[in-house]
Amino acid sequence: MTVHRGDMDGMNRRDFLRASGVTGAGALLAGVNTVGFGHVAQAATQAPLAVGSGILVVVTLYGGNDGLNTVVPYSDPRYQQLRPALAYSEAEVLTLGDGLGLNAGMAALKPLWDDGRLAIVRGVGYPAMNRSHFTSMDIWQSASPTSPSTSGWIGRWLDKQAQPSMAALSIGGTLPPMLVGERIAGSALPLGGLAVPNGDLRRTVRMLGRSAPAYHPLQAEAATAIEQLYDNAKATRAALATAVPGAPAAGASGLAQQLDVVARLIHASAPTRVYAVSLGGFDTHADEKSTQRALLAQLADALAGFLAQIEATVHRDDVTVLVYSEFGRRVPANLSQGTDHGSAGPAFVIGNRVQGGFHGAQPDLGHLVRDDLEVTVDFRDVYATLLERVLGSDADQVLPGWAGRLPLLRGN
Amino acid sequence: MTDERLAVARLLHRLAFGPAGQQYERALALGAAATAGELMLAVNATSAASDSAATPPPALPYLTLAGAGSRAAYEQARRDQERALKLWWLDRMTTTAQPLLERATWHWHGHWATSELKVRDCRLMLQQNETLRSTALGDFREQARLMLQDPALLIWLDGKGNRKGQPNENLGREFLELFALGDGNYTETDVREASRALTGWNVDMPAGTAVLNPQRFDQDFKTILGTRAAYDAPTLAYHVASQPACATHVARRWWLRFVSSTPATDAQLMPLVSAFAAERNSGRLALAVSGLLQDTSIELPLAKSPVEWAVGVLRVLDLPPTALPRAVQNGLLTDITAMGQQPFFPPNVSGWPSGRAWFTTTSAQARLRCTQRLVTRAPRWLATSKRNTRAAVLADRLGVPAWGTPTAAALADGSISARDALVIALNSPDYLVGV
Repeated sequence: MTVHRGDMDGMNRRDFLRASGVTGAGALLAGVNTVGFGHVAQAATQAPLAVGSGILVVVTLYGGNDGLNTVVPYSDPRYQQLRPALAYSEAEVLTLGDGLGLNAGMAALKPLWDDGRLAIVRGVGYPAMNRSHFTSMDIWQSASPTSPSTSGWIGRWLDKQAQPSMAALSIGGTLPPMLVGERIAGSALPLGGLAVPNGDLRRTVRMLGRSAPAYHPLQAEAATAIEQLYDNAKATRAALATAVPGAPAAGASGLAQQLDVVARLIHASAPTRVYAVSLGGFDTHADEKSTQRALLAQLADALAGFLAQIEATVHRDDVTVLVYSEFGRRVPANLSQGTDHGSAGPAFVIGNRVQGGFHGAQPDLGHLVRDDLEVTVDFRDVYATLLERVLGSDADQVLPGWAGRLPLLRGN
Repeated sequence: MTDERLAVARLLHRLAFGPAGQQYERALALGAAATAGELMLAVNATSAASDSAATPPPALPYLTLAGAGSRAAYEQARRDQERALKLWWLDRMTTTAQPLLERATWHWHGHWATSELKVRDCRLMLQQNETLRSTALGDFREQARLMLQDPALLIWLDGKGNRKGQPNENLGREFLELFALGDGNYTETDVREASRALTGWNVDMPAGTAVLNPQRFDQDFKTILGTRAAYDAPTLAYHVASQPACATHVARRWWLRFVSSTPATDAQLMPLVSAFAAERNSGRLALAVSGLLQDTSIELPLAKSPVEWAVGVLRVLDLPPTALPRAVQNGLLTDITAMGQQPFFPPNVSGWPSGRAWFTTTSAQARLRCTQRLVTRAPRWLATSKRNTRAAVLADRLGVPAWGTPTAAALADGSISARDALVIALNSPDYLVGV
C-alpha cells in the first residue's frame, strides 16, 4: 500500500491554505466559520432546497491519479511500449470506444457510461503544469494557475451567494482551500457522531465556548470549536438520523461514508449547493498497478452507491459529480513499478443531466512534452461550465474573463 | 517592560512540553533569561544518560511473516510494536531531563515526516528517531546527510530501489521542496538531477541498514542548483543544505512550530535566519528562538498540537504514560488519534498542520474525553487548595499567564468540583493557545 503524500485527505489541506497564504485572508481570520449540523438541520426544515436547484459534488483525488491507467489507451502501441510493465491490455480493461478502456477497478461506473450519464473529459490540466502536489492542488483549488490566489473557486462563488453560510460543505474534519472565499468560508462537517460531557461539566465546559474581546483570533477559534461541538452534538442525530435507502455497509470506505452523509443531507433537502469530499493515496511512485486499481474501485463503488441513493430522492436530476486529481503521472514507468508526477489527466463528470461520452481530445502519445502528456482541455473550461450549468451562476465572477466552456450538460 | 509571566510561559510551553509540578513558579523566580539558559544547559551527556536509563526504548525485534507463523500473528506483532513505540516516545517527552532536545526532535519528526503506515517497521522508525535526536540541535547539513541514507526515509519516499537509468523522483523532489529549500527555489531540472544523485540505494531489511549498490548508482556529473559535480547522497545533502534558501526555509519551519502561527515577515525571520545561516546549527536556531520568545511586546500566538497538549496534560498530572493502566494507555492513543496526531504517523510528507486546524469539533470532543479519562480525581495540590484560590493555583501549575474571562467565569462557578476545574482549565483557549 502506498499511503504517504498522496494521502492528503483532511489535515494536509491546511498546508495548502498556509502555503497559499489563505490563512491570512479575510475569510478565516474574520471568524467566518464552519456552521454546525444544527444550523443545517434547521435550515433544511425552514428553507429546504427547491427541486431543480443544481447540486455539485466535488470529489478530489489527492496524490496525483495516473490518468493513463484510468482511461487506458490500450490500442495505442506507444502506450504498451512506453510503460510495458504497467500497461493494461484490451482484455484487462472495460472498453469505452475510441480505443480507450476504463480501469477494471471501475466496473461499477461502466453502467453509467453505457447510460450516457458519465462524461470523461480527456487531457485536463493547465498551462505548464506544476509537479508539486501542493502547488498543483493549490492551483486546481484556487483556479488560478498564473498568480497565487488567496481564495478557492467555490469560495469566490460563495462570496456572491445571498445565503452563503450553508451553501458549500466539506464532509470530514477540515476545510479544503477550494471552499475558502475572500469574504466567506464554507463549512466542514465531521463524520460520525459527537458528544459533550455529562453532569456539571456539561454546563461549565460550555462556558469555554464563549469568546472574549481580549482573545487572539486563534484562541477564539479554540472557543468556537467548543461552541460548535455543543451545537453539532445536539443536532447531528436529527439531521443524519434518516438513512437513504442503499446506504453503504458499516466498514465501507471513507469516501463511501462521506458520500453517505452527502446523500442524507441531499435527501433532507439541506440548503447546500456544493459538497466537497475526497479520497487520498494516489501518489503511486511504486507498485502502482494494484494500489491504483484498489483505489479506483473504492472510488467507483462509492460513487455508484451514492448515485443509486440519490435516485431515491426528489433531487435525483439535480446532482452532478465532478472527479479530479491535481495531476496525472509520467508516461514511462520508473523502475519501482510506479510513476512519477506528471501533467494532464482525465476528469469525470457524472449525473442524470450530464452529456455522457468523451469530451476533449485524447493527448497524443506521439507528442510528449518531456515524457509528459500534453494538456488538451483547460480545467477552467470544466469549472466555468459547472458554475453556469449546474449552479446557475455567473462564471465570470469566479473566473474573470474565462471564455472556454464544454457541452457537459444536456438541455437548457 | 517585559511581562515575565508571559515570557516564562512561552519558554516552557514552546521550548519544552509545559511545566510539571511547580516548575512555572520556580522559573518565574529565576526569570525568563535564566530559564532559557537552563533549558539550553540541560541538553548534555548527563541528561542523555539519565533519559536512557529512565525511559529506555522498547526492544523491537525484526518481524517477518515467516517468523510470525501467520499473517494475523505478524500483523498483531507489528501493532504491538507500534503501540510500544508510541507510548515510549510519549513517556520520554513527559519525563525527559532535556525537554528542549526532545521538543526539537519532535519538530524534526514533523519536518522529515516519515510514517510507519508505509514503512511498516518500528525498528527503522526508532532508528530514524534516534538519528533525529542525535542531530536535533546540531548541524543541519549532517542531519540531511544522515537522513538521505536513513532506511525509513528511503522506504517512505521510494529512495530504496531508485536506480540509474530511470530514477524515482519522489525523494529528490521532497528533499528540495519540503525538507531543504521550499517551492520556488529549485527547477524541475534540479529535481531530476538530484534524483540521479540519489540512485543506487536499497535497504537491507534483516540488517536494518541502507546499502549503496555502485552498479545502480549514476556516477556521472549532475548539474544541481547551478553547480556541476559527480554528486552522490552525502555531497548532495551538503550542497543543498548550504544554499541560502535552505537557511530561510528551515527558519520558517521553526517559526511556525515554535514562535507563531502567523507567518513571519522577512524582518521578523531575520534573527532566526542569521543565527542558523553561519553554521547551519539548529542549536543556535533554538537560542535565537528563545530570544524572540522573551520579547513580550509582540503577540506570538501558537496553538499546542495534540501531542504537545497531551504531553503537557500528562506533565501537569504527573502521569508518565507507561505507568498508566493498559486500558487508559489505549484510550490516550485513541484520543490523540481522534485529535489528528499520533507520533510516527504524520499524515503525509509535509507533516502535520498547525494553528486553527487543531480546533475542530472533533478534536474538541477528543480533548474533553481525554482529560476526563486521565483526571480520575483531583490531584492533592488542587484538592487541598481553597476554592477561592483554585484559579490562581491552576494558572501557576499549568503555566498560564492569566485566565481569559470565559475560563475565569467557568472556574469561578460555585458548583464545580476541583477535578472539574482541572478539566476546564486544560481545555481552555488560554491553555491551548499561547500568545
